[in-house]
Amino acid sequence: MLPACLVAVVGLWSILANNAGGWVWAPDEVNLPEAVATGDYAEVRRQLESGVDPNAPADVRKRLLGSKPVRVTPLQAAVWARSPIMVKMLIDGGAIVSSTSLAVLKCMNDENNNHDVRVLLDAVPMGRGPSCSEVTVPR
Amino acid sequence: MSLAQSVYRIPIQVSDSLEVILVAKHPTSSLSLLQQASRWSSTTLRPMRYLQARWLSGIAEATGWSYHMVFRGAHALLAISIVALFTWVANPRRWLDVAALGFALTVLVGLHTFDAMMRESFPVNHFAEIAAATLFVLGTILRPARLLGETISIALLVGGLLLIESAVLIWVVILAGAVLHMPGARRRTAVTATVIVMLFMAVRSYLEITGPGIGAHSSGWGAVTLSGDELKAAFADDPWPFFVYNVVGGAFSLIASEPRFGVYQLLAARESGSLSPVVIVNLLSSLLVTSAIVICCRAALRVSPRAWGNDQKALAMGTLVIGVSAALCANYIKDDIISTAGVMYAVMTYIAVRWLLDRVDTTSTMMRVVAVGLFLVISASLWAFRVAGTHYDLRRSAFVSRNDWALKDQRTLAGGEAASRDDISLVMRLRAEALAQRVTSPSFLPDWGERYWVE
Repeated sequence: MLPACLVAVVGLWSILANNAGGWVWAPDEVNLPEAVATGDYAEVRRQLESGVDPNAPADVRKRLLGSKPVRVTPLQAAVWARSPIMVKMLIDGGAIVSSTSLAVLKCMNDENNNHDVRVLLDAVPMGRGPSCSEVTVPR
Repeated sequence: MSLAQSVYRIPIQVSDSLEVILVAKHPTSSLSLLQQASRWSSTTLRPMRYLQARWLSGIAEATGWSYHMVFRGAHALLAISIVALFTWVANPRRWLDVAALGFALTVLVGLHTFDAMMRESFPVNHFAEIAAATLFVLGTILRPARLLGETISIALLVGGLLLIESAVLIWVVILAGAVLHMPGARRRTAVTATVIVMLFMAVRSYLEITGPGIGAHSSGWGAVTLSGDELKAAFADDPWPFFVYNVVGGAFSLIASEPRFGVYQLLAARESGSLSPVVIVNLLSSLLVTSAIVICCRAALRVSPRAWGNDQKALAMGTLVIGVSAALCANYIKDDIISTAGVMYAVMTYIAVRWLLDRVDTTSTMMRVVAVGLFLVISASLWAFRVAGTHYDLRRSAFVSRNDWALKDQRTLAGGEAASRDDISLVMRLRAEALAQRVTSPSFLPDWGERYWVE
């Protein structure tokens, strides 16, 4: 009976604590780059439609992209996560790419070597940007 | 309550639910919908599925509540009902009964068939409704006969048959109750139920509705899953080996958690060289409980059936329901199809564990006490672990279901270019509700969860 009681207590705690991000289940509050990093298309869509800035960098918790927390823009998170769907969703959702940020994205993608992401980035109309040695790639 | 919460957090699903909700709104009346829906499929007669969706949509429109609250609330209430009805059937009177009930509830909720009932919705899971109805009927016939209980049982049978064919299990329970002379099962109820099932079969025949046949669904064979075309190529000429495989597999899926969807994970692991821990946890926990049930059934068989009490009769009925459920898997094995049998398996677990505890309490040697104690500690821990896995899987489903709303535009979701303005408007509302529903990404859940909880 003890295991069943434990499950019941944990379950009750889950109800009481979950909405605030309790210890039983993980929190469901994420920023836009975190939503991108975790493949949470619905959350990305929700945040874009509710007016969240698609260019604003934010801290991504450790182990979602790298072994330690990292500060990236949503597009950088999408390239890091090798997700062409996210890249397209963000560009369609108003993410603005400058020649420098595009260079950063392409340099990041060179490290990951995702063909579909490369095609999307190459399709962005932009003049010649700096080389990979001239930009800082988030790690 | 925590189970209901996990169920409620799953958004209304695009697959299986959206189309039903949209289609059910079109006819001018429920009667018109009943008539039209009866002819929409050549393999199933399930008009109640559309009627339920229409009625629930009507509640949302009339009250101004969100569709999510109404549809997912109905599913969550169904989850609570099943647990409450299970407790009502168990009817615990002593602390020993309560202990057995605690164990049996972990089996009920931890079983993979229960997870399937809670995870999927059409838009409310029919199999869960049949399981709840079956529990109600069982609880009724375990008590002295009452006209109200019998009337509700017959109404549940009629509604259930128009919902999904698995409702035939309600008839099996009523009939078995009468044959076994259970207190609340009168012959007239069994006769009425039998006439209703015969009428249902006649209507199906009149509407020229036939079974889906081989190839309508993919299904497992040994270590692999075969597509519908592959199944046709292999078994169209001689389907019996496939039928027998599925019926045996359906029964084993319940009592041993192997195979799943017709695929034996142990065989697959032998070929791939790696065995997922979830297979070991599920197999071991199921075999331990099944062993206890078998021992209890053996003891019941030593007594003449005339001397059987309610427990022995319920064990016989559970065995029959598992057998009929396995037969319903003849064309393909799916967790949902054996979900009502899963509930009966949990009832049998309750009886077996209570019987074991009773024997320990009265006549046991130290050896037996240790053996029963070990059994309880190991199996209860494994099943409690599986219960946590049910929650884990429901949260994964919530994430997947919510994402489905984000990957297509509203017109495509509403049915494409032919979609009406009303349909698109409703889809926009449902999509907004789904996106507003906060869920947890599996990335935040334990890394080992997939290996230990998901097959």
